[in-house]
Amino acid sequence: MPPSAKSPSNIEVVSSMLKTFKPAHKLNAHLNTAVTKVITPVVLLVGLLVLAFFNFQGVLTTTTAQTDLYKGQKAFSAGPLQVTFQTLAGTDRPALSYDNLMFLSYVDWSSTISVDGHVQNLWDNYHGYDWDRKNPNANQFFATSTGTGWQLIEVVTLLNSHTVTVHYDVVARTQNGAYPRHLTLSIEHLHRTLYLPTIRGNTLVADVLPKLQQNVNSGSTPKSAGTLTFMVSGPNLADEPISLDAVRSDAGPDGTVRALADSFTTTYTLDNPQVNRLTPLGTETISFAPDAGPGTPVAAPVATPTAIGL
Amino acid sequence: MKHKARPQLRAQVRSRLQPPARVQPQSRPRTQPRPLLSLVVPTRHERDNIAALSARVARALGPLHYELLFVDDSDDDTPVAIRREMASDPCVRLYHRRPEERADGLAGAVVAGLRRASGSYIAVLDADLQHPPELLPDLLAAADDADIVVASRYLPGGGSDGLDGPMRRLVSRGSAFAAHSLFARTRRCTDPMSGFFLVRRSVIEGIPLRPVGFKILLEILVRGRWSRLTELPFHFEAREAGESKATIEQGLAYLRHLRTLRLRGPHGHGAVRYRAPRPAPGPDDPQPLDDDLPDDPEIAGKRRRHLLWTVGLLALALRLVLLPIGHWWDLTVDYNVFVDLIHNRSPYDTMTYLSHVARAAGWDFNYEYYAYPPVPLYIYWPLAKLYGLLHPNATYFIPVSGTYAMPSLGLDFFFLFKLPIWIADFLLAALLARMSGTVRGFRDYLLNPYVLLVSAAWTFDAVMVLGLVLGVYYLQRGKPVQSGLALAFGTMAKFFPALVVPTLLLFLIKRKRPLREMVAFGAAYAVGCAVLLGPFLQGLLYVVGFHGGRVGGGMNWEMLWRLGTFFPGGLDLDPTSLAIGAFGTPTLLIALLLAYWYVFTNREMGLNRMVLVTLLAFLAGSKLVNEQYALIVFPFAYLEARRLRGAWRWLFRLLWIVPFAFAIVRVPIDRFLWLFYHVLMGTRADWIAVSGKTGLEWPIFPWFNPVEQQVLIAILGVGFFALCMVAIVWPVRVPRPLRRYRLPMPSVLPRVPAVAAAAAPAAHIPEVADATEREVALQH
Repeated sequence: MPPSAKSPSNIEVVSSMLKTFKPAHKLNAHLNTAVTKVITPVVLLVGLLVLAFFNFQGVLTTTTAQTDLYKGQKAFSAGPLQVTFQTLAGTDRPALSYDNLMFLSYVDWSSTISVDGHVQNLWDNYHGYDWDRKNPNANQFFATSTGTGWQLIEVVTLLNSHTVTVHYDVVARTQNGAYPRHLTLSIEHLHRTLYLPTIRGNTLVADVLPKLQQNVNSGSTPKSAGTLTFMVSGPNLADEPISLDAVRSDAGPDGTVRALADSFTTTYTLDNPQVNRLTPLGTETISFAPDAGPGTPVAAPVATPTAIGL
Repeated sequence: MKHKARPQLRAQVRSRLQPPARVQPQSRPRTQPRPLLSLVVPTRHERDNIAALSARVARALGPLHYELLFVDDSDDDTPVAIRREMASDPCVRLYHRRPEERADGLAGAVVAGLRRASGSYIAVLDADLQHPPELLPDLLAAADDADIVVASRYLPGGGSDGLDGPMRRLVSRGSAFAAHSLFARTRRCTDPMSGFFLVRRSVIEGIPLRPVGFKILLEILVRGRWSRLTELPFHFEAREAGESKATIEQGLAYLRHLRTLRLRGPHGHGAVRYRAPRPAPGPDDPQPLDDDLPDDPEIAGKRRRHLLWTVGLLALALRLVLLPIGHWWDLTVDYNVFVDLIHNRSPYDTMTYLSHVARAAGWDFNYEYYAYPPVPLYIYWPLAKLYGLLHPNATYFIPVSGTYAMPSLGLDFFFLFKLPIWIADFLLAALLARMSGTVRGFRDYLLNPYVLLVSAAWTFDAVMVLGLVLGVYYLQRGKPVQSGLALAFGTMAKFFPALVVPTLLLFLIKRKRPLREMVAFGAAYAVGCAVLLGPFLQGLLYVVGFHGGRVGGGMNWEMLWRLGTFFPGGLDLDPTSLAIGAFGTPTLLIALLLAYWYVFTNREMGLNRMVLVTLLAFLAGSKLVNEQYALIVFPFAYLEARRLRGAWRWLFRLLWIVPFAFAIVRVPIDRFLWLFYHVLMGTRADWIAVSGKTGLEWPIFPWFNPVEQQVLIAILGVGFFALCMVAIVWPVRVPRPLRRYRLPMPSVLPRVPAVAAAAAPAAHIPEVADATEREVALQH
């Protein structure tokens, strides 16, 4: 054997193998193997874990949300404007506050629904609630009152830092084969003191006083917290949809008569409603503009919002 | 009979050309009365290319009997160069046109050459060597199954670098587009402007060709007597010598040519069958996607066209008769969506709103509203606007339960709503005819009772199925981008096509297709979905959540428990059923993952079966299977029944008969006829709206007795689940003993081995000895 013909070392063998190495398959063949042996089992396993996680988390979320719901109160806020909804009481359904000053409260205790002449208090019925848990920015709250032959749906929406809408739908239901012919809904709105309230058509405008009506002294000039603009619109308004409940006449500092009130009512009527169908009654749009103090920006004019309801 | 002899041509060409070797011109046999192939080469001032062309042709065609016919319009010494070649190569011939004969230009020269060519096949190529003569054997071999073989610059693997600059490429593309627009017969040809092609003699024999300018192939495609077209890719090379003759005048001549072709006959007619080139794959090459694709269906002939028209008109008439029927809840929702669209309101917002109301009011956990992706919104937007013009006071009709919009809807709403569904139905039928290779696919889809019921009574399932089938169709034909886009369209119409996206990717992996195809498919799908999703992502997520939270039911395994309650001593397992329903999504995902695993590891499965198994796995594993869901498997089960025949035909039939029966028993079917009641018996319609009963619940119908109805529903539901399972595990191929062969009959069609055919002695014919004689003979 000549000296040059000695057997190559292992390192030489390996290095020559590496030099001449060519993959036996193309990339897609490797991909094939990877999908068969790695990706599919991994996807199967990970998928199961993800599913288990999300499934049980979803169940937990629902439970938590339902627990929260029956704590009795739900609130939204946008800037200084806050909307609170009490689920365990017949008042503040909803209550509207501006900079911690409550300027309007919807009162179910004093609100009624009349079905074919039979008047019922709204609070003395079954109630249900919901809101958008996945989208807290929706600022929307849904409440229902269900009585014999009717169901009232109230949707409260906080639109922006100055405006709230409350929309009413009604569903007429059959009772023993008969269904309602005439529905009248009266919603009571309560506040501390409305100063110089004026109603023009479907709009009420008044100054809101921070003190109670009885604390307003005759002849004095009360300090207004802001201006309330209340507008009602919809397909089933009564002839006079807004009415002041108790107006007190008082003498102003210049001796002229001035009006003060602490509640008003909106009224909707519906004849021959179609049964089991969501029928819109109307929408109440509440805007509050605080009195401008030094350095306080004047609130932008509030555009009439479109009806949230259908 | 000529068709049966064709395979020998391929063998003859291939065997004679192997091994490739330079053959002395003098040694070529000229022993047949007519050359197999005539090459028509128009020349004008191409003297520098003649020798090279002749040599390359000789090298390419080797011992094949051919003639190389130069039709020369030159004023220089090109004829001298050709005659020089004639002296050394007996295959070369010359037809030199006098100046007064050249008024018809290049195309006229080619026509003159075609008239004088004597070969059974005639190829045309340029003398400037931009058309590689080495492709001629492939063109000739491809003519086995074709009347015209076009060397295309625009097929994958081809190229048009020989065109001088982007402007000429643009002009070439534009010219092709104009031809495609004006002449349907040219549309399958990717390069009707090609100057390099091969035709059978019979294609042009007796056809008056009157080309203007230089686009002779277009003339042949439009006027020729042909039905089968094949293309091969080729690289349009740069000129070796000489100058291009493309000018603005030639462009104007082309426009004149188009006008003449359009206005003056004769025009060829009949079906066009296109066969894409199919090169033999190497061991490492990706496997072809379209192995078992049938040819497009023959629709040539008056009888077949009459059949198509009859089926189409009958299908349309049936749909018109069924116009005023529909599923009450779906139509109520669809009507409200129309109102949404009229007011430019998102139906997803409406659904969210109504769901909150429903939860607060205790109607349901979710209000079942528009729970689909957004493509139907795009489709219905203009139609809803039109409806809004017709009905300016259209308002919402939001039912709580037991009352529906349907009786108060007019026929115009039904027509506008069903129009896209009908269009999708017809497109699907045409697609199914193509995929099955028979016009019966058209008939069997359009006139199927189940399809008619789904199209008439439910929503836009046909639109979704169209996207699904189109995606599979494109992928089978090797078009991953179009496939991804079609599937995205289907997915964004209803979610189901998303199920087969992994299947199609697995199919590409199984076939070892290039990675770029998978990326192209996935990217096209993702981009398509994203674009169509547009501003509706939030709404779509809400809809997905809605589907996840729905209770189960329908034609699925949950019926097992319901069935158990009807037998003596049977357990009431509703809680179990509910528990399974709660885990419906994990169950479905596991079923799908197993299906993906199965279709990927089963090497015998073709694309159609893979898709079918995936969809069947969905139907078997889903917690909710409505009657109309079975439409997604209809086309694929039909194709499988065409392929496997035998018992699969019955599987296919059962796959639509069981859902059809389920719909009839569960609904019950007569409640689809509310509008009829509304038109004919107004009081009954009102009663239906309130009570949900038609008043026609006669004892003869099974739904008169709720128990019997429930038992029937449960049996059909379990039956459909079992059917899906059987179809999933059914053998991919027919067991060998059961397969019916049509054996070749040796006495009628003896097979001649290719080698033997090549070696067989040919008949001797006298050789034209003198070059001058060859030229003079052509002059006359």
